[in-house]
Amino acid sequence: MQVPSSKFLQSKKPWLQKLVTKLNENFTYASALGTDVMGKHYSVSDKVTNISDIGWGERGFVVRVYNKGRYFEYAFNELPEEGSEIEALAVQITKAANMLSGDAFLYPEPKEEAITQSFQGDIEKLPNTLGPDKIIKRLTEITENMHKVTPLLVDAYAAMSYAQVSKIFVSAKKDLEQHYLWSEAYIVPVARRDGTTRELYKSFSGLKGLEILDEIDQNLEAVVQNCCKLLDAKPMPPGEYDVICSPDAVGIIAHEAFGHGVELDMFLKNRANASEYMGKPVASSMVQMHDGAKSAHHVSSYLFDDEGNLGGDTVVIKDGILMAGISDALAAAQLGLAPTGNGKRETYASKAYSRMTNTFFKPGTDKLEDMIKSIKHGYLIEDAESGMEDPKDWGIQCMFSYAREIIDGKLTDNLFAPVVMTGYVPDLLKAIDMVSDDFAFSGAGGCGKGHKEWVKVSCGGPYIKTKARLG
Amino acid sequence: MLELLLKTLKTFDNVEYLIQETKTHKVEGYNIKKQSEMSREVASTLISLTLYVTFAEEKKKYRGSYNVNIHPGTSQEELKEIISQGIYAAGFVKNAYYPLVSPTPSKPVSTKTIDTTKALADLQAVFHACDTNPVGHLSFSEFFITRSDIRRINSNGVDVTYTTYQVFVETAVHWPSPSGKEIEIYEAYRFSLDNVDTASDYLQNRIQELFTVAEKKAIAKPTPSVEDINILLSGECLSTFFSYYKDCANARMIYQELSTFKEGTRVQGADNSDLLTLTLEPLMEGSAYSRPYDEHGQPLEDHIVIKDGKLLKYWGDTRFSSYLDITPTGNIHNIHITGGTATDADLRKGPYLELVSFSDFQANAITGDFGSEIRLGFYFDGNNITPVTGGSISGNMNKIQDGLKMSAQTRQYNSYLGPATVCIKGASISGVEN
Repeated sequence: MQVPSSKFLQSKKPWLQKLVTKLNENFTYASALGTDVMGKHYSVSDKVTNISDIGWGERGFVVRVYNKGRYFEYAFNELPEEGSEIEALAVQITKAANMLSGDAFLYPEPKEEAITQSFQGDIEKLPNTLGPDKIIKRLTEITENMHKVTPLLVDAYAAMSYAQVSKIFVSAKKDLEQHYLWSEAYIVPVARRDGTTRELYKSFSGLKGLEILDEIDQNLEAVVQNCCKLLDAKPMPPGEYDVICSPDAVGIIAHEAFGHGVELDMFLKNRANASEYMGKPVASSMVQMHDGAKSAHHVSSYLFDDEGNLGGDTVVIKDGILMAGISDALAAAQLGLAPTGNGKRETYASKAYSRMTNTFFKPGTDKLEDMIKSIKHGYLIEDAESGMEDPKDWGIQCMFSYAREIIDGKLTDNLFAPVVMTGYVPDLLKAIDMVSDDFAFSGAGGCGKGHKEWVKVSCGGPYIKTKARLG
Repeated sequence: MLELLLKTLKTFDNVEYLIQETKTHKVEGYNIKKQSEMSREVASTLISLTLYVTFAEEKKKYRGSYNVNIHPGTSQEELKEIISQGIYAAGFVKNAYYPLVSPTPSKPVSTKTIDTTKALADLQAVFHACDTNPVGHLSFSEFFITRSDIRRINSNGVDVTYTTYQVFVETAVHWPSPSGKEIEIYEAYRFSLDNVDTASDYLQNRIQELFTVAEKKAIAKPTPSVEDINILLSGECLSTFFSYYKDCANARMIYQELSTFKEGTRVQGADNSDLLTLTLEPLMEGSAYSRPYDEHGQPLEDHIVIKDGKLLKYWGDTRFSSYLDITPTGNIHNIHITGGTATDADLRKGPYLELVSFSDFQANAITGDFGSEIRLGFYFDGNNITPVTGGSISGNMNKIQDGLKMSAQTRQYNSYLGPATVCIKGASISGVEN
């Protein structure tokens, strides 16, 4: 089923084109991005049910102009009427852009190729084809089924969100449109026994519609049982161990370790150590890492980024060698590189930065059971919670829900929680000696740059075996 | 847009609603070292509409709700459709009944006006003037100054307005290590713009501190593996650390049985520890989250929630307070933790590991788990103090809180005002050297 286009953006496109034409009278470059992202969030827990607009929703415009080496952007969501008021807005933007003074970081004049393209995504079931009553009923059944697994739950939470993303980009040479839909679902059981409380979070996501809810059923029992097992989890004894990371954990390692580390706007600020390692080994020769809107079919797959550049497929690491970074248009221009289509904004109101899209390690040829057998004492790390980048010093922090102990080549039921993985990125990646033939993606939640600018990304990979410091 | 929405709502019989309007004007400056990278300006109006319906099943009263954003340019016909659909959908949201906020005499609110464009220029100038260290430097900065005009209206007759000014600054200091390789310390500051001079002083002090932290990190050794040692936590992590108590005392957490805190009982401390006193202060000076009303229009005032380790009262918004049959405090962000009894000398007696900078310190209010990678700490082995970096801390609040010692000296980090340092025992340190 094709994702419908935004009637709002279609109706405003001629208006936006007129504004850009007007600005081109005063600037050598002017462009405008229009966004219309609509969606709903449905959640059910034991005592609280909710329907609200999705937090990722937005509708607005951002205009970018270039003037003598400097860029200025103006973002807004209240539309002037046709005619004279468009002129007034153009005058206001021109005035603000011309007021820029002081010492500036000067950019080369932007060059554009003429492109006219549009894209409409396909999904199985559009969310608005099922009424709110049925979605709430479905989520309620899921929470009831979680309780049927064990009497230990004090709360069972199930949620589903979707975002219908529509964007248009216009400039003197570009006319781009895209309309696609992603969704995500979560279950969170909370178990309690003898004053100890544990929760476990499991997410499902993709360029999908209501079919995402079917994925919960296949995983529900295992998630609830693991949550209950966490009640007996012991604190992780600090130390360096042989570890196997699940695809979920590998995704977050790829994302934090080298995803943020190769965002090329960080190179301009001398904030990324990777700038000194291009063409050099940074990981085991078994590591192949990609990022790109076209490198996978997941929540950050799009035709064009928020600066009007077409999405790509960047080979970040090939055979352990650092090959390339990912860029927004301005960083690419300053570094003399072609943009990779990674210029993303939190919303129309935010600046575009170099950001990840779908980031992953490619699968290898090893079997998971052989990887487990190869470990005398170590851990299988599952269910990523969060991570934090450190591109300058190549430190890594990843938080995981739990680790399962491996003794004498066998997986045990001994769980340890919570788990903080830290270390020096190249040490962690160079120690990879086995890569499985499995592969899975995860794209729930969002990615921040530092402590802000949340954007939708996905990450994933196979199982990997390495050495890591856990605490 | 707001007027059209109100007019359209009147065409529906007995509709119950909450409107949250936020008009934002933001000026932004992006710099690489001292050069401007880009300037931006944002003008937006966000309207969030929540529709409520009341219904009964088997003699029990329920309150359904449906929230939707109303975008500028939406026509009256579209509004009618949105409201009709919302009322229909709210009928399937089967929550226990709760009242909406009722109107109260309006509170006096500040009506000052700050020139945000000038403030941006002034703060950037103050910031760049700090960049005079002969060894280290500020590698980049991003400045965001936001004026928000906020209005809350509900169908009960609440109609309140107030204005806030907020500053957000992101930056990093680069400092050469003895090996010649540069290290980075990244920091983000959020605070209110009550006046430009106070904000300038605050920013200046924080940047000077950041240079000191960077200098120490550049010469830091790997964090040692230590056990049974006093661990001191200092700095902004304490905001997250103490938010655990605020979250666990929240009416929503209690109602959903996610917290086991009980009113009138000891929730922290033992005979030999400092006992916690936590006050919610909605109008804390300097906090970017200070406000006279919460998001539902409930007027806010100070509340002592925990006193000497004992939970005096739950706190929360009108809905969850009504579920617990308590007086609502409204949602309040700012926490004031009363300083403890420990002097600097008390806290630093004998060997200790003091942790002052983290990658991302996190605490889970449901499980009590906390942890983070260590970006900078100081290890005192009884003779020497050594800056250390790397490794991690992890622990559980339930296991460390009884031995808590708090400094008498207090510090403010945005919405946190409280002890500058706490001493805990029982957390686990994963050192770099094993």
